[in-house]
Amino acid sequence: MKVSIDPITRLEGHGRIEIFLNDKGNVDRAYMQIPELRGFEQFCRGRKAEDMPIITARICGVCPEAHHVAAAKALDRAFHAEPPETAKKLRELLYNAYYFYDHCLHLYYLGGIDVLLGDVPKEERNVIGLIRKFGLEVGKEVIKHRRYAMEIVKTLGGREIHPVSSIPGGVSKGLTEEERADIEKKAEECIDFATTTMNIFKEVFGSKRWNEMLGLDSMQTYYMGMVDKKNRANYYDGDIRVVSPDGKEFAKIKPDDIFKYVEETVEEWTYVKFPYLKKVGWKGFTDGMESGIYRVGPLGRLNVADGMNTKLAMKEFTEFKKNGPVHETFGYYQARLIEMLNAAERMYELSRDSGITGTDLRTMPGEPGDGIGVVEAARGTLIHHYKLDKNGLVEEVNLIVATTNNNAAINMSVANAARKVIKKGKVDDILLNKVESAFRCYDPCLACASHALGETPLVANIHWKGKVYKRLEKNV
Amino acid sequence: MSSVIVGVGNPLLGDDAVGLAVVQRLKGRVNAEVKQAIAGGLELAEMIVGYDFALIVDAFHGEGVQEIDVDRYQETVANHDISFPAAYTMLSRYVRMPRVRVLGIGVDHMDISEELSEKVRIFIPVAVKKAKTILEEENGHII
Repeated sequence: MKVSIDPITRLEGHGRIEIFLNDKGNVDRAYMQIPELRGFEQFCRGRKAEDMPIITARICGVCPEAHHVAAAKALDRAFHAEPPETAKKLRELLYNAYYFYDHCLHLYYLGGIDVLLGDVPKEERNVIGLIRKFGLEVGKEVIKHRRYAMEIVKTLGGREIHPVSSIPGGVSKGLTEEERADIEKKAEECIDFATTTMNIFKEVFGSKRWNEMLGLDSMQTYYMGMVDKKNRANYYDGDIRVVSPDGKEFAKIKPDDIFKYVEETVEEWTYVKFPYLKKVGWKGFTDGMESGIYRVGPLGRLNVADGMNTKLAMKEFTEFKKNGPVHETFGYYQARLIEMLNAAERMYELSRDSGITGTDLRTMPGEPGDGIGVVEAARGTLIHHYKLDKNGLVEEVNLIVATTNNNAAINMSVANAARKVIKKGKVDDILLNKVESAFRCYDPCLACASHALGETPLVANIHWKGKVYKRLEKNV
Repeated sequence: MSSVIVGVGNPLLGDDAVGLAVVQRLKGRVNAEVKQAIAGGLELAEMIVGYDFALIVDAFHGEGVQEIDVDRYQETVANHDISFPAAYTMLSRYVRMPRVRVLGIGVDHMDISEELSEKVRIFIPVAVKKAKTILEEENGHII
């Protein structure tokens, strides 16, 4: 069966899966189309550079903290203003609070439901179903600790969501001793909650159902993520490390050099580009050493790292990677749990750091120029690149967001999962959910794209014998 | 009786910001706390905890100004979230949630822009008037 997708099917505003069946009703090819925010670069031109951390935070309701901090880091570079140590620590503290509540949300309210509840009917596949299974007390703890992390973001960022504190060369607001003590107390409780969360998920990890999930999709790709000087995972700062499918270091990249290593290709059926490793090359949707496709996000970060920077997370990391890099896509959940624990521990450590209440908060900006800011957004490496004119106005903007980095891999995972579960033309809601669960592992950010309606709006078209055989819609 | 009115929208997405513009005009003119939210779902549901009544003002794909059934209010600015009805239902199990009504202003273009279209702008006074009526109805109803 010939695959042909008219450009008119390019989507706006929601995700779309296109699955093409062969004559026998088995999956031939499958695509996941991710909407893209277009026109943002144009929108930013001519604006004051210092507005970028505020503007970019508002393009995305999912990870405003990541855009806020990536923008500030790009401006640190563009204005040649290395932030003082206290400012770096405050940013990192805010950033770990964001990680904690973001991962908490995904694990308990969104993708984690696939793991914790399994193949339950559609109407039970939500947080209410989760509370029904695990009890009211668990739900109460989720709400409480997620709230703690959001309050920490508010204390440090000036606002609960869409923070405003990071500015070129540092931060605009310090931390009082009273605020510090409050954060320390909350962070300590978050460590306990992250440990509880780990244990809840571990009950599933020992099950037959979990092994089936792991078998749904596994790919030998390259991985990318940020590491500190000891090659431990770091979300806020460091070099970008890339490892090959066998786990060996392929490159260690200074953020300023990222575009020497990453190139993007296009496909006719989508506006969203497909980044790949330039030195390996684009070989299409295939994995292995010869394919430049890489994965980012929790699995990418832990696969590139030699360790974690906190004790409890390090213990879990050692167990997770005891056999080398993890290629199963559902490994994203295990990695996310370890990161949630790490974020809580790191919050606690930073809250007890003697320099965290320092008053040296900003280095005054110098002459404007170019700057690249890289952070690890919860769902993967996020790159902001700005070119400023001599008056400090924005001339050019280029953003590579986390989900774009994973675009090729997400497509492959969807295709792999579809091939596993769709046979002889049999498609129903439960099977579609299995296909969806493969891309939910990545916690893809469809929201950077545009204002969307409902919960992860999604259309799945199943093509068979030259026409749309079934169309399944969700939240559209 | 404590009331809150929340404008929901993204100020960078053109007509999506109409809810923010409406509540801006109600500040100081109604017997209710006025808030703005660039988020929906769980964030929004958490913002209204502790009040007796909440009025949400948001853009929707459609025409004119009309009340939207809360159960069908699925509008969020982020996919990494649960819907408002799901968040409301969940939180209701732990805290007392307010009675909620949703006022929608129909839009059809939500592109990158800080400007509201003329088509939507003319509905702002209508929405402001309707919001005041709803607040009066609720205050009267409770009293």
